[in-house]
Amino acid sequence: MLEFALFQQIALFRQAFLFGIGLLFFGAAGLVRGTDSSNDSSKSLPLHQRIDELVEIDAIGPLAILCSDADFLRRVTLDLAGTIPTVDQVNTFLADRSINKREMVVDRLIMSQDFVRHMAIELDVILLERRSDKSVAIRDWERYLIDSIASDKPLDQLFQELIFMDSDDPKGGVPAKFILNRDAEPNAVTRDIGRLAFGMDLQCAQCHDHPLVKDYLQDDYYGLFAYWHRIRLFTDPKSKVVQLSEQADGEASFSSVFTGSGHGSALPRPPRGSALVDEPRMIGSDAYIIEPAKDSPGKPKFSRRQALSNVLSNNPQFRRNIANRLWLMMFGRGIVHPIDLHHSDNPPVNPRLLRLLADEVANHNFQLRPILRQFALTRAYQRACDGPSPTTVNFRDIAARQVQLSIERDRMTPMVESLETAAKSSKAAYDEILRRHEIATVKIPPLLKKAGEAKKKFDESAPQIALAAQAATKLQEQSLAVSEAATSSANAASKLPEDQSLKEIAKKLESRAAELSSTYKLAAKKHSDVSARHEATELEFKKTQAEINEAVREQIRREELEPVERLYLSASMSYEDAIYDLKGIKQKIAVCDLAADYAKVRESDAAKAESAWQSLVQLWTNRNQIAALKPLTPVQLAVSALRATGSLDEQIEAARTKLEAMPPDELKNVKDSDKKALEERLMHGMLIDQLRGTVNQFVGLYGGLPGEDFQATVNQALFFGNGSVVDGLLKPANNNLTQRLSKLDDTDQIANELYLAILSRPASDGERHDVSKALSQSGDRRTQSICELGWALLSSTEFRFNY
Amino acid sequence: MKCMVSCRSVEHMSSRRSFLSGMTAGSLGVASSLSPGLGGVLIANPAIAAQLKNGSKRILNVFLHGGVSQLESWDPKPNTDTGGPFRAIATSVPGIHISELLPHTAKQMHRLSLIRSLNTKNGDHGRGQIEMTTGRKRIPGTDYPHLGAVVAKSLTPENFPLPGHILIRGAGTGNSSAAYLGPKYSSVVMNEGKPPEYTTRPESLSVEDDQRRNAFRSKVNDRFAGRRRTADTDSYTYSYDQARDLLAAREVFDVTREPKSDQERYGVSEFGQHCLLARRLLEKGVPFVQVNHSNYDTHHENFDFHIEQLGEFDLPFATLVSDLAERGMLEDTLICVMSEFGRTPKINSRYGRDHWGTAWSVLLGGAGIQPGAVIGKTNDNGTEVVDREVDHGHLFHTILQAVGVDSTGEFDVGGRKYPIADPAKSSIKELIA
Repeated sequence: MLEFALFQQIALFRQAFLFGIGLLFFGAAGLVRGTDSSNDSSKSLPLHQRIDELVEIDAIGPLAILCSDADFLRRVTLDLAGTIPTVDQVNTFLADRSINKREMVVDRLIMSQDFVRHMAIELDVILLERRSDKSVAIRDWERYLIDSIASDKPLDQLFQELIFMDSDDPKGGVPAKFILNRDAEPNAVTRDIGRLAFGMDLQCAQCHDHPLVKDYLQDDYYGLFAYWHRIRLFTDPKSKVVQLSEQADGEASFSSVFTGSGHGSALPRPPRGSALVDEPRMIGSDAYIIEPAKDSPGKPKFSRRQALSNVLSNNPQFRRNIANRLWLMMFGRGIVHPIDLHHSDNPPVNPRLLRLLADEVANHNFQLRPILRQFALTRAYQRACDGPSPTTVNFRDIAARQVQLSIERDRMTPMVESLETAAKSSKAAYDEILRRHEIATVKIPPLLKKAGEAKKKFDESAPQIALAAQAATKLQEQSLAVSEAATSSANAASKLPEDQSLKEIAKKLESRAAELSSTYKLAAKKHSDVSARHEATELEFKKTQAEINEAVREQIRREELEPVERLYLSASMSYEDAIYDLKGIKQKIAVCDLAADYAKVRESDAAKAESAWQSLVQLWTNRNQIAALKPLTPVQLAVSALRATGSLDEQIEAARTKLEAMPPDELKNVKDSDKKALEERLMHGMLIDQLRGTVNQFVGLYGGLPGEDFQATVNQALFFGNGSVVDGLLKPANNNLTQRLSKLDDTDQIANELYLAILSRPASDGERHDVSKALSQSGDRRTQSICELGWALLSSTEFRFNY
Repeated sequence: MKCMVSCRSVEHMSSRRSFLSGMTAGSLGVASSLSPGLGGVLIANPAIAAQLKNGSKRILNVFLHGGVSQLESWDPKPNTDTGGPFRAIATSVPGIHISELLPHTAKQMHRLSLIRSLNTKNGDHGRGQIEMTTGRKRIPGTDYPHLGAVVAKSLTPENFPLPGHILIRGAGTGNSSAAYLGPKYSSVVMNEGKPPEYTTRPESLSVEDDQRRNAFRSKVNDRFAGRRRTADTDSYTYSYDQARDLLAAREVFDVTREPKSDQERYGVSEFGQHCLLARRLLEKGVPFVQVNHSNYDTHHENFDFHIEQLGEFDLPFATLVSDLAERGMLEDTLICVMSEFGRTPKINSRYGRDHWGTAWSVLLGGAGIQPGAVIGKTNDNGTEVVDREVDHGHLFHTILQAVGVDSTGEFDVGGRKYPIADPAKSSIKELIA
């Protein structure tokens, strides 16, 4: 604890110092772009140091010392490789005397295939959220994720591919699984893109403005929805393969279930981004590369999905969300938490840190490895999890901070209010111009339909004219020929008046000629009618086209919208940054207040004091002053249990043997230099497959998605205690942990091995004593007793959490 | 009614409770950081308030799968073009008539009430099942918690050793989802009435072995608690205590321990035994029990099937209502009999009735439900609702309010707020006593 106190003193001094700088900078830069700490001198520092500066400048109260080597190795191995370390790794790391051994282990882990496998699983859970498997085969999808991670694919690119991938594959490529698994249902996709790409769960704004979040409007929901409104599931009638289809037209309209107010046409618009106003308008079949048909999903020339995928990288909300989600991966809690509720009533715990990371994620090309590496190198990440003691806290200092912070808050409040006014008026102007646009836009879809129909008629009538002309000409010729024949036969008949048969022929020809002449007249009329109709549809088509052009002219031009939009976006961003900063200060004041409350009741009311203290420790944890206890994910738990008991090694061996026995073609054809890496990657792909059954049992019971609250259920405990899975791992077999330990005589050695294998650290004296006592009482049930000890460690809190 | 509270030491439990409540205040403090100080951070949590007030209330939901015909049950229309062959019979409430297929239930009518004006605007099984049990319109991409999960979260007493949400059904798969409320509140399933999974110790493990390994586990946990203890670590260690208590109480799941005479009264049918099991669970204080009865999807031979199905339903159900009343449990136990929808008034060419959500009925009773009432009305041949039209949203509010849960409140799950029931709907006030 002495060390703790000492560290804290230094930290407090540091805080006071940095705080001064912060204030100066704050005054100089003003509020418009917030108060990014990244002043010029700090920009040259590595990111992990800049993160630590921002965390520590904002710290109120104790900053925990760095954690022990054993804690660090377990923590970072779980976070980067998805499992506890092996006994060898623990022993090697603990014996290593290098100063930079933590950095070295981070680099080793981040380049490992375990990292690739673990991150692929994490991404799978984030993106599909354990939906039941459909459409694209799970193995293809896993391979896609594994390859994406292995090749350092930027996350913005990954999201772009999930949203839209131009592919000749009729299924739209493997990434289309993201949409297909949601049945290509526009509302389901809108919600999840909102949450996963932008960190905003707009679901409740679907039917009305969000009842509980004042920042989330129905407009926002439909802005995003308009990108997805045109997608459908398409099932190939022959192969029954389910594919994605996208229409070239269709506008999203909506009204509130509460107020009835709404819009006839929602412009596609991502959160914090530009509205799509310069969309090309094409009519009927012209709008498609391949027109949709019964046996084809079609392919539009202009895809709104593609338009969305193109604006992702530069969208500030996308950047913040990615930064926040990566932070969650390593720290167990988002800077904004819950992670998909970025809005002013759920401010980031450290606004400047979030802004820094949003920029830096983009500067690091949205790549996982470099960012996570920087996170792992921070002091914030490496802090101890141990609960601090009240005696180490300088309450007087906290009280002084409170005074300072209150002054800062009061100074800032009116500025935030004026920014709010500016944001509101710029929004009003923006809404106004969008409404003008909408009035013109709602006219277009019926006109497009009308034009499409006219064009269809026009196209259909062209061959009809030719046919009618042909028919008329033919009849004219026939009529002419017959009437000539009639004239000459009449002439002939008059020369041979007594020839009755000739007379009859002449008469017949005459009547035939009259008949043909009238048929020809009808055909000629038909020809002129068809031509007239053709011209009329052409006229109508042209007229409608003119009307469309007129409506399009009434729409807002990009150039016209741009200045208004830019003003709106920057004013609302400035306001948001300022309100986050203000609320950041208020959160700090709340910590000070809680500390003061604790100090007040510390002596007088033990129960109140205890509860206040626990709340304080929780707040310090949320503020990264103390390391959080992160529950293992179901996959981490399963894989770690397998590793601890020796089954994982066995599985890896099995996968390797299988790969060697039956190498796939791609392994045979690869260059020698790439062979090892590919082999490892394929092996881990197979490993995921092999472990699926066991892992799914854990997933089914332990559930939980990233960022969700921890829940321990009685079913989990029953499964762990009575189920066959854990029992099977512990039963002595195949040189597993229990079998190996049951061959040892020395109880100290058994204790050490047991603790190293399961808890990734050597046993303490007391623990060795406990183990020895348990074993000495076991008599002839020694192996059974080892099983019991193994079970107890596996079911312990220490194993269940990443600390 | 007694809760099966275990022999846990008072000290441990009380410290845990205060510890957890402290944590709650803290984590809420983060969410609503605008209100400084301890006093300011406690935001209203109606669910918990309701829980404190009504810790002993319970719900029995009988779900008649496939869609029971309202015309052969709660809203008969004899001697009309749609009425079918059965008569309506008088019940224990003067003026209320139900189908002659339910003679035993008719005698319990003074303890029960009917809603005859449901218009759920849906004829799809999957959607009907979800909408009726979640009280929400199904929206793609969104899952809402099952009534059982909502009730388990709101009404399970602290340290209750049994699951708060139990589903008894015939053979099948899946369970009732707790959605955002988390796995703690999803249903524990008693498939074919058998005990839930993992409630049997492996044969190789004696009680003593289990105690020994758990004692060692506690020791390991205590050591770690010396380093750090949080609400999460507490709830994790507590889940093992709960498992131990549940195993000790596992005979709750064994219906054969009920007296022979009772087993006979409930009959040998699966549904009869499941009703008795439900009684047993409700007596032990389980807050939500659902019994499923299949299958009412009578597109063919509607009348024959209803004779058979309701014949199986009637006696055990009526026996259960009467038993609960006699034991004084009906005051705290709400009973609901629902389906995914009703059936068409029009009789099709195969003597069947098809799916129909436009005008159908649900039965409620017990707890805060006014007995002997009929809400709403359909027209003479049952083709439309003519009075007090309601849907699943109103029903959901009503059920919850009748067991003392403020359904207009919100759940706070991990700093995220969820309305307990559909905010666009409200309860059927006149049905709540």
